[in-house]
Amino acid sequence: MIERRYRNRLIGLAILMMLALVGVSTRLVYLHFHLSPGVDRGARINAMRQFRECLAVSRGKILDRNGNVLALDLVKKELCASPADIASNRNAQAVAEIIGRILNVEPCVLMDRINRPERQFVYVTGYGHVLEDNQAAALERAKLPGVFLKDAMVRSYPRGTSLCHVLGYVNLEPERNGCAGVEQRWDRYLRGVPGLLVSERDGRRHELYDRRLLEIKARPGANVMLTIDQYVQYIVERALENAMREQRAKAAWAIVERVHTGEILAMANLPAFDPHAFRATEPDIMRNNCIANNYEPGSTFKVTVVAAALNEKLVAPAQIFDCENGTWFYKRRALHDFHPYGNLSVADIIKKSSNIGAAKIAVLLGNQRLYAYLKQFGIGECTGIELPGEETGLLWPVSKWTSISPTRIAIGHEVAVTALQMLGVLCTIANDGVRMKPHIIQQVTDADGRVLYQQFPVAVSQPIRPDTARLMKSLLVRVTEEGGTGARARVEGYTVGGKTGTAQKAIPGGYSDTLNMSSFMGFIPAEDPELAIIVVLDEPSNNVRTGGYVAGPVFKEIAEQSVRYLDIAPMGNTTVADRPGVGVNRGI
Amino acid sequence: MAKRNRRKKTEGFVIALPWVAILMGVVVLMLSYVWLDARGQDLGRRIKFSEKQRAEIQKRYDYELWKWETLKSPSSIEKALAHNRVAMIWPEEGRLVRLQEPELAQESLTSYSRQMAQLSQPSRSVVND
Repeated sequence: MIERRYRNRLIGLAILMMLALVGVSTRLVYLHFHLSPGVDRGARINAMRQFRECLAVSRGKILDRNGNVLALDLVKKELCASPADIASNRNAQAVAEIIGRILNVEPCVLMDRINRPERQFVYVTGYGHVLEDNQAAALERAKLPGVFLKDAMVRSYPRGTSLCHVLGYVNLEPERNGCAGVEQRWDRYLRGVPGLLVSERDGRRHELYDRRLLEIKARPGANVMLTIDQYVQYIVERALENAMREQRAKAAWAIVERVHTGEILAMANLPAFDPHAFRATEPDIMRNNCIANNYEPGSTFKVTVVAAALNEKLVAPAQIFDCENGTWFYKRRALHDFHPYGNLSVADIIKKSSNIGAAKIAVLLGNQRLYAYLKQFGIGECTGIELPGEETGLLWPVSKWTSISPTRIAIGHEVAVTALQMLGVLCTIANDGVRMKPHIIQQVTDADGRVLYQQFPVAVSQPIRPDTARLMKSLLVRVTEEGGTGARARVEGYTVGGKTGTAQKAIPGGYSDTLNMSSFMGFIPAEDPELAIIVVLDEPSNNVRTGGYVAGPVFKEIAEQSVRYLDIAPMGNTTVADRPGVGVNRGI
Repeated sequence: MAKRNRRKKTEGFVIALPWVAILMGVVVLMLSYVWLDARGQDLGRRIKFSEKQRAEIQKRYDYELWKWETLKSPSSIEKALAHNRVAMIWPEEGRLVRLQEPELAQESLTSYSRQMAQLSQPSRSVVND
């Protein structure tokens, strides 16, 4: 039996406990459901806890036609420090020495950065500099007070400098915009869409998952697949490198294009640059000369004039022109040939690359017709390749031509082209007169593999008839035969068609006698052209600087390896004219 | 009928049964709430952990992919061959034995067939013909 006094105490205790429990519960309900009467305070607490985070998204990959990765995002580490914390521990010198030992940097250089007690945050090795993985691991193990590693997304190019002018580069965080090449032009697809996270943190700054208010998933960037073949690209770059060294040229560039589809298999420029170190590169070196350098093409341009005249049936391959023994005065201005010739047939004008012969054909053609054909061949307008910074070339309207303009245009002066435009002319001839739009993008797919964009071959125009094109092909084959200017471009076992070009460079007040642009463009196999290649060397410095001598062997090196790699079989000894409908008309 | 003895009292502290039931219900509710909260937090932690783990695996995958791509680039392969003193050249055309039609091999060069190129019509009118 419980005594009365104990019972009262027990009841009192129970009431007290109940009150306490009710009080605590009420408080919990208020806290949990944000019913606190102090609205401002509640909002302040929420604001302290709540955070908005932009969810980083990786850029899409850039792939070659076979799926080899040419550019991808990697998460690397940046070395950061809090100089104030380091100063409070009074060990800046020791920290600098340890970091210096790991990074192989002089401690005094690091001391300049971390011995700033007034600062809360510094990049120890500079903004944008990321650590190697072994360095990051060593620094993590060292656990230096006031020193920490920060994740940084960086664009990485596994092939290094290869294809740098086509790929371009990406600037540093936080923007990470594509700034050149494919990275710039296809930035909209590559960059993806960052996500958003609105949530709350606990006192230890850990996210409270159950308080996550909003989460919008990041959408990774789309993958861009190029038409480039990394091995053909390598062949081209290696050949250009050798040529640059042997010919002591200032620069060199080359393109390999598939004749029937307009796909670019390789596009190389030298000197190259490291896209990882774009901040230390001269803007001039970063220019893609294949599409952004207007140059006077020289004799390679003769093919347009002769093709036009043949198409108009103004001349026949066997028709003889008097090449004036090397000097012809037209409108009281002299025009010279590199070697003096007497009478030459149209076929030999191409084979020997006679300036006078080509000029006479251009005069025969007339200004208006010549201009119309050049426009149809795409001279003076962008090709529309999916890269930024393409130049249009330079073709003045007929109204601005002088009386001698057709004679100069015929030999590739008074007109400027890009290498891609010039190659386009050759591809048109090789493709039975159909001009295909060159393209470097094959397709764009999102992270789930859905195709967002696909490029199909597009025929732009047909400046010449198929029979004229076949005739031109047979004339261009003669250029690489014995006695032609392009004999050094011959490939064993294959028939090659092509044209050499040696242009004097324009300087203020005229043309330089010592500075040249030497080029060679050709197609292989000539019977049914599969590949068209153009090689341009800027200012080769050896004694002989003609296109056939300088650029021809580079063409040969590229062509003979490319046909083997791509397994393009030779067509035998049948002549081009004997094969009606080769190229476009032969469907598989 | 027996008269109720008003003096007879129940000994000790007695809480009525309905109150006990209500109290028990409240306690069960509270415990359930605590358990669910703990469970939710645990799940949240696990999801966060999995998210981190996935990001880490993605990071490692990208890094391995980068290493692999660097390793199999033509220049690296050439360097490796040179390092091991292996000289390789393409066989001469005359020494090749083709096991398939070269046209078919060429077809694999591109994803577009030549037929496709044929089908694409010039977008502009043909002039100079």
